[in-house]
Parts: sequence; structure tokens; C-alpha cells
Amino acid sequence: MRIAAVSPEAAALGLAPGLALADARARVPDLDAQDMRPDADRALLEQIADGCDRYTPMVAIDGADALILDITGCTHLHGGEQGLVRHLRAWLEHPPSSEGERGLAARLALAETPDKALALARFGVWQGDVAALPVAALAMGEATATALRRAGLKTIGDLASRPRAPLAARFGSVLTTRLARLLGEEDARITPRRRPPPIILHRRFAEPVAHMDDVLAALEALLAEACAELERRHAGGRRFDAALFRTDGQVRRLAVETGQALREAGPVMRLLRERIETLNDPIDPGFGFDLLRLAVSHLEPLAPKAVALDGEVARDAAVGALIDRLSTRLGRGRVTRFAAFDTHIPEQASFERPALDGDAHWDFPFPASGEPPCRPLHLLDPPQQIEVTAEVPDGPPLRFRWRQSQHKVARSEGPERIAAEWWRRADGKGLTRDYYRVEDMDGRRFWLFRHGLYGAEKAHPDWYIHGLFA
Amino acid sequence: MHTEAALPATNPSPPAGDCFGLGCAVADQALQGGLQRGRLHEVMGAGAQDCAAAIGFALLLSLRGTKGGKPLFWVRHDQGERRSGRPDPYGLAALGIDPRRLLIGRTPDEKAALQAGLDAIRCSGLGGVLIEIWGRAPLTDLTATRRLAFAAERSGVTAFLVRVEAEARPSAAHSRWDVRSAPSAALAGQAPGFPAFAATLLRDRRGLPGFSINLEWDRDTGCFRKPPLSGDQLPLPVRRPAAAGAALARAA
Repeated sequence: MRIAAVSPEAAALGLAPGLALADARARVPDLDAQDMRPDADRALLEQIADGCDRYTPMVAIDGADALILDITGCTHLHGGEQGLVRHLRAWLEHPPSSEGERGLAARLALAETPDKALALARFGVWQGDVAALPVAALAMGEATATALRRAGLKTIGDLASRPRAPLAARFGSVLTTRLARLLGEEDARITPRRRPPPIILHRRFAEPVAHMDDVLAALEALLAEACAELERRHAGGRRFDAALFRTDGQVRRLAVETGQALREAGPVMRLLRERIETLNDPIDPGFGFDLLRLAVSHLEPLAPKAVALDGEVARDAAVGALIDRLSTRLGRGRVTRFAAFDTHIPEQASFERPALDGDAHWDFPFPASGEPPCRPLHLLDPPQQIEVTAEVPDGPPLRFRWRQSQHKVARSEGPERIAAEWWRRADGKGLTRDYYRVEDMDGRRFWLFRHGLYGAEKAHPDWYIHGLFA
Repeated sequence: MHTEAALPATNPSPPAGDCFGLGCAVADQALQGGLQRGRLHEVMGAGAQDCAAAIGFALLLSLRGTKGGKPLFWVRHDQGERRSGRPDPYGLAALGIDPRRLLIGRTPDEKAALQAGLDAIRCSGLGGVLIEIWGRAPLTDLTATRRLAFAAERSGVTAFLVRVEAEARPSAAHSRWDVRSAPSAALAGQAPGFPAFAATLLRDRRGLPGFSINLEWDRDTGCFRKPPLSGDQLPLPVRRPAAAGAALARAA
């Protein structure tokens, strides 16, 4: 067992990551060692990143221990860069309202490019000069760092003074790119955890608000503002995200989606209330919320509305509102429409899309007139295996047993032969299915198939039931 | 509408709302023009094996009852999905129901199914609502069906409550049917024929006498019809005047 990370106090005692635990205990007998839990660390980092959304929407996670905040254009809200850093440090080190919890020791650095800020933070320099950093700050791996040190290049400053071409020839172009980014010569963009939504509104409270009714009233006011903005842009929202920031850093996110673009606060608020009612764990205001954020993350053009004389728009809107409400309550995948897929395999030829995704105009062929239905009303997916007696192994079934009951076949038609899709399969094989439409003595109609051609593909093909006809 | 002068005189007042017929003259006459729009109708499938027949019958009725291509909403709960598989749009198209008109709502349990069905019935933009409930379903009682029935009357949406594997319980439905599969008229080479149903009207709020009839669905005309080889029993009530029986016999 080795030490993965140490606290500042432990570092002062001379312990360092990589030291064997037994050695460390020999040096410091009353050492408080905890098991390493990377997943918990990651979750904590995610939680902090969520909380950092209050400073800027552009937050990225780097590695296992770093966050990058792109604060371009956000600093004036917190009293300049220094004010933001002060606030962030205070928030991290003394999280409000957590009596027993300890704050976090964070190393903050402020720089023009993400790479430079990261290097400064990792090597514990606050707004210092990059030139003084060791070459390890390039994060090129131990072998490269050693090679550079052997060449007498100990710091970034040493490297920066050299011509780049020989360096690239010796260590690859990655090194020169990293160097340029570190020196601020080249600006790399961070990939934020979330794409910033087009409309985003905040409501900050002077005092934490612990009453849900007040929070919802404030949310409704925000929605009204958002809808006014949507109206101005001639757009409607398809997705509304509300985030409730609790004083202790917890964030509750509520999202509602609509099938049609919406621009009225009332229906969206109804959906949000529906979402809150169906939450598995109810919202706990705890010590109160100090910040609300409402984002409209998916916009769609929506022309100013004019209702047709026959009320057509109103009717479509009523169905749309129903889809939105049920999708919010039951889940977006549970209110669906049919969609087709181009294949011969019956269970793959259709699937269902969320109705929220709108109408898609798939063609389902209507059979020729005068023909009975050749596809069942209900499709058993996956098909269920049955025991079948047939007169000859490759003939139609005579009787079969499904779900503990015997069915004697009175009429049958088939086979309709559907080959496996050998062109989609790597081995180019697959069993052919012979489908039979059968009717039993009681008049129930079933869709059965024999899996595999008798003799040619399989010695004893299995039988399956695949559907029920009306 | 098939209204003839020879309708039985003893029957109660004519239907209040507008009706849709089944398309089969005999059945429409026995139903005094058909089933009422904007009401809750109950379709029972006695056993699990009759689910396709009961659901198919209800779907076809709601297809006949819908004007102008309005969407149909089908509420299922997960138990039904497990027992009977998922609906196949090609099979729906084969029955003449445009799958693009259909919206499916899936709910985890019976309570959510009734609630979702109620919300759907209240939405006047829909043409029809079909609620599929499986098993004993303790929550589908008189109160719940009355709620559905009131909502249907207010919004004018025709609603069908399909109960599979259930025994008859008091309900506020306007009519109650028992539907099973019937042997179809064989096509050439002993092939199974068109969808055939053995439908029984168990009760009707208008006080119509119950009857049983075998019906075959004809997709090309969008009508139910009598199967070519008549296997149905149309038990005429004892109190029925002779004229009505004659009219029925003529239509048959």
C-alpha cells in the first residue's frame, strides 16, 4: 500500500505521495490514513463543478483533481477577477452551513490560457511567472522531463529561450504546442461540461429562501422574463432547465421538455410543477436556496401566433400539451409514436420514438385490398419458444403448446420465408425463418415461425410464436 | 346511420349524442344506430388469449368513431406489455389503422394508466382514447370509471376501456361488450381469413337488449360485416315486437 495524496500537515512532516504506508507509519505512528476512493473523489469534483456554474457557465474538469473556469466576461458580476477568486476561495474553504464538514484546500491560479492556469495551479504558484516552473509542468511524461533535465533545460524559461525547431525534431511537435500554450502564445479553448444555453436568467436572493412556494413564485417570475425574451427573438423554447442552488453547494436541477415550442409561462410552470410532484426524492430546501437559474437550452423559431378560423391550431396545441404533460410525468420514452426501420426482420422493422421529438412521416404500407392482415396486431418481442407438432418436419404446424395450453391448428397459411440479414452480419450466416399464419379451433390467430431450414440449416429447427392477430 | 321505421316502439328514448355505427346493418339496427360518441365504452376480453381480439375490436371501433383523422391515444400499462407484446405498426396498417395517427402512452401501473387515460380523455384534440387494463385491477372501480365517463362527456372524446382477464364489475361505462376471437371464414387452401370477432353486447345505458353477433372486419370499406358463412346467434329478446324481428331478418 502506498500513499496517493497527503494533506499539507503531512507534507510538513516529510511524507510524500508514493511512500509505502508501512514506512510512513514507522515515521509517524499516529498517522490517519484513509482508503483511496477515486469514484468519490470524482463525484466531489463533479459536485464542486456544479457549484462553480454560479460563476460561469464554462466549467471543465481536467484530470482527476482540477477544474478550469473560463471567466471571460463574468468577472464584473463578482467585483473583478480578484473579487471572484476571493469569493471562490471562501466558498471552497468555508462552505456555508456545513458545521461538521471541513473545507477544501484549493490551489487557485489565474492566467490568460487554460494550460498556463493549470500549470500554475498544479505547481502551487499564484499568478507567478511560468518561466520559473520546472519542465514537468509540460505534462509530457517522466521520460521527456528527465531527457530535458539531462540536456540542462530545467525550467520552462530555459525551454522558451531555445529555438523551437530542434526541440520539435527531438521531442515531437506536441512539446512545442504545449510550450506555446503554456506561454500564452496559443490559446486553446476549454470544452465546457455543458454547452451554455442561449437564454439564461438568474435570481439571487439576499437571504436564503427555504420556502418552496416562494422559490416557485420566483421561478415563475423568471419564466415570465424568459418568455418575454423568447417573444422578442421570435422563438419558442423546447427545453427549460431550472437549477436551484442551495447555500451548501447542493444543486437541484429540474428539466422539462416540450413537443412543440412554447412561449407562455403558464404551461411551462405547470410542467415544472408536474416534474416536482413526480420526483422520487422531494426537494429539500435545507438551509435555503440562494440562487435560482432558469435556462432555455433548446430554442426553435416560433412565429407570432395567429389562430386559424377552424380552431386547428388550438386542437394541435391541446394534443401537444397532453404529450408534454404525460412525458414529464411518465418519462420521455414512455409516450411514443411509431417509426419504421428499413429491414425485413419483423421485430426490427419498427420502433417507437418519443412523441416529444415530433411527427415523423414514415410510410407504413397498407396491404393490397382483399387480403387478410399478414402482420399481427401484437408482436411478441423477443419471440417465445413453443413446442410444435407438425406432420412433416418442414410442413405447417398441426398443434402447438404455448403458455400451458394446447392449441390445435384449424387453418394455416405459409410459409412466408424471411431470410436472415446475412449482409449485415460479420459471419454472413443466420437462420432463415418460415412464418405461418395459423388459426386454432377457438378462432384465435397466431403468427408462428420455424427457425432454420429443416435439414439445410438445422437438424431440428425450433419453433417460436411471434405475434397475435386480432 | 341505419334508422328504419320498423324500430321497436318499446325501446327507451333515442340517443342524445351522435352515434357511429359498426357498418353492419344488423348490428347497427340492434344498437339503434350505433354506439354514442363522447362516451366511455367498456370492452371485456375474458381470457389473456382474447386480448388481441378485444384490443383490436376497441381500436377498430375508435377508428370508426373518429372524425377527420384526429389522433388516437392508447394507454397501456407494463403488465399488458409483458403479457401481449408490443403493438406492431404494420399489423395496425393491415387493419386499416394509420399508425401515424396513434400515440402510445406506457405507464408503470394501473393507477398511472387511469390517470394518464383521464388526462387524455380531457384533451378534446384527440379522436379517441383506449385504456388497456389487465387483470383484477382493484382501482378500476365505479368511481374511476365514472370519472372517465364524465370526462368523456365533457370533452366529446370517445373512450374505450379494454379490460383483459377481468371479471365484470360495476362500472359507469355507457356500454359493455364481451369480445373474443371467432373462427374466420377460410380463404382458399384453408388459409385463415379476415379478422373475426364474436362480440356480445352485455349492457347499454340506453336500455337496449343484449345480443351476440359474429362480425368480420373489412379493411377495404372500413366496416364490420357479417361473415359470409353465418355462424352467429342473434338471440332476440322475448319482449321484442314481431316487426323488429322481421326487419332484422330482412337485413340479415
